[in-house]
Amino acid sequence: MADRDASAPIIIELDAVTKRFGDATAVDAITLAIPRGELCVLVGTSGCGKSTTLRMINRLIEHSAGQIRIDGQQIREVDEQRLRRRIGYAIQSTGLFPHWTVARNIGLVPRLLRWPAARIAARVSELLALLGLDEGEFAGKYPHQLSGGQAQRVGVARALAADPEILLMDEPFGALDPITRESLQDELLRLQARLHKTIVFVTHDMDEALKMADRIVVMDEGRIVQQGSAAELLRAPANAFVESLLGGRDRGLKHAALTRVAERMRPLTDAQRGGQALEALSVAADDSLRQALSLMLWHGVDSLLVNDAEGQLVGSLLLQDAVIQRNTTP
Amino acid sequence: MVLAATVALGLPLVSVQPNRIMPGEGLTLWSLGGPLALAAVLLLLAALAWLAWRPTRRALTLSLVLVGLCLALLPWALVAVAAEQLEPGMTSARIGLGAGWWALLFVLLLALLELLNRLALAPLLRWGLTLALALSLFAALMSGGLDSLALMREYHGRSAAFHAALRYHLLLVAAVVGVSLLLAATLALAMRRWSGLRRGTFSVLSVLQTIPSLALFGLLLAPLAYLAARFTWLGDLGIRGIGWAPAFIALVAYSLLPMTRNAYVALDEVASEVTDAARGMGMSPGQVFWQVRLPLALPVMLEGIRITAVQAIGLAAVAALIGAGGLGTFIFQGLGQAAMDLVLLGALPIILIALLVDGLFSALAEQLRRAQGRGDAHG
Repeated sequence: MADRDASAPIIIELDAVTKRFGDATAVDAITLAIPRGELCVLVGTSGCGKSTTLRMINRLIEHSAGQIRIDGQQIREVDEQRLRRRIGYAIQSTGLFPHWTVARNIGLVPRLLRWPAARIAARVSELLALLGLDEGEFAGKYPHQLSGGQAQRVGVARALAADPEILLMDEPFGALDPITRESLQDELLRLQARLHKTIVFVTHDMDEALKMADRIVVMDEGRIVQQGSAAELLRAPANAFVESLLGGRDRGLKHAALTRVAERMRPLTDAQRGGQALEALSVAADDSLRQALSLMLWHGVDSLLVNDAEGQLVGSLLLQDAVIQRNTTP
Repeated sequence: MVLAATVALGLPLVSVQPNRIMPGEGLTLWSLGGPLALAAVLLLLAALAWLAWRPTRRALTLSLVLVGLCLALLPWALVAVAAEQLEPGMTSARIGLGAGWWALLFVLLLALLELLNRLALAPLLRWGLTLALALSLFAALMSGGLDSLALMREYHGRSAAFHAALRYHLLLVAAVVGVSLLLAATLALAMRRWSGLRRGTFSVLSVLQTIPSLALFGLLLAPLAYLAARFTWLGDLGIRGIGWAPAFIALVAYSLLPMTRNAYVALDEVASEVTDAARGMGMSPGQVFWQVRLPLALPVMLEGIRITAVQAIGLAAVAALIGAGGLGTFIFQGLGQAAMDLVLLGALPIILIALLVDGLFSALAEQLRRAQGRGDAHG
């Protein structure tokens, strides 16, 4: 079949895909089209079928009915091992092989693809550098010698090794502490801005989904309940389930977490630029509105100074502007 | 520890017998070496006690050296005693090892084990230390200075038989371990493939394990004798109601449970995340097994081989009762003739081999774990 089209906007298509385990239906006729270069997050409570959906895409689980196509080609028509070597796969840090060094773990798929040794070594160095791991220090280490965050970086590097177009990530940061988790999320977003992979990311953590996703797909009991951007979901949750996932009455804060201070601040007037000393409290323009509100609450103030990335004073944020969006920009 | 050693000093260390039958005359440390020897030993004990008081790593290492040295010198002390106590030409007189000597050996070995545990040396270093002690003993034996030892008198009486029995014993154990490893691997793989097999297989193996060894030999006697009579080619192979065949079958039957259980558990316990990742990366089922599952299971499987080998070494002694030969022959001969030294001639090598095999496999498994980067905290 010559229907493989590597430039079409849609790279992964699920068409009425169903998975039954015995009598139970884990995934119920879902239809989903994922455009090339999108970071698509499947989110839902445990047992909602999100992981099953992910694992059907690389045939770790065979679907019972419907069609899954990658680049227009049905995945059933591709040899399953060849298919998987084309798709990056990252799971929780325990998925590293404990008896292999970091370098050997990362080089796994290139080795399966029979790349020459020199090319594998070069690729491993490149990936270690990309993930911010010092080659001299980490290449020869074993997984148990790594911290959770380091192990997960290695897991991501391993998934990226053969430069696959698609990356499947199954709760990759699920076992990490909140701080490490946050820094790895930032790291993945930074990588994605450079690499433009198509990423399907599974998580049960709505905050993670809101932060990472170009598009969020909310699943419940094997069906897709709602899909859309973070802002779309927050503005209009489809039902009570989505609303509760979004945190119910915390929704306002979650929305604030997605809004940058720069969007609400008042730029400095020339008079202020003269060096009027206001409060010593300041936030960065790239910080979220949520962080700014937290600072105001904590210090009991109703305005903050805003710095840019270089630490230059660029504006101020007033409580009234933070709470109510104004359409005026001076 | 110190208390036990002091008690040992009061007991007779060795006894001198004019011949095999006459009871010997016990000699204590005092009567052997006088006050000087006693003082030397007491000084040594005091030194050890002082070192144990503040167990820093250096003190422990020093104690290890002292204890190791004592153990290595023990056979040589015996050489000296033998030379002094027996006049040349007394060909039938012999030195027996007394309660004190055994107690001393026991206490020293205990101290050695405790020190090795506390120091947590690399497994191969530990194995090397054991080997050095064994070599010292061997050298003392070879020097001829111990020929007057009762044990050695028994040995010289039947050295050809001893070597044949030793070879036979080792061969039997090696064959049993090899065959049961193959069978156990097959069973474990079959159980992983068809999970329904598991319950049945393990219950059969457990029942086999509970049959007393002598009863199992007896149970095998009749059918094997019948088969050998029925098919003469079996008889030509040496398969009869008694002899190596029933012993071999019974030992394999006993070995299967620990071996299969360890092999199965080892393969099954490999973290599912790891095999899941392996499959998800595009490894074929064969690659997952040979490159991931088996290497990760190996240390636990080695543990199974160790248990089986040690068990087989001991059980093979009982097999001597049904004419299977091996070192057990001397034990039962000795028991029959009330000659304890002959019993020891069979029993001591069995214990020694069991200890060496046990140590070797433990060291191998631990070394493997460390090589795989999964050693414990102090790795």
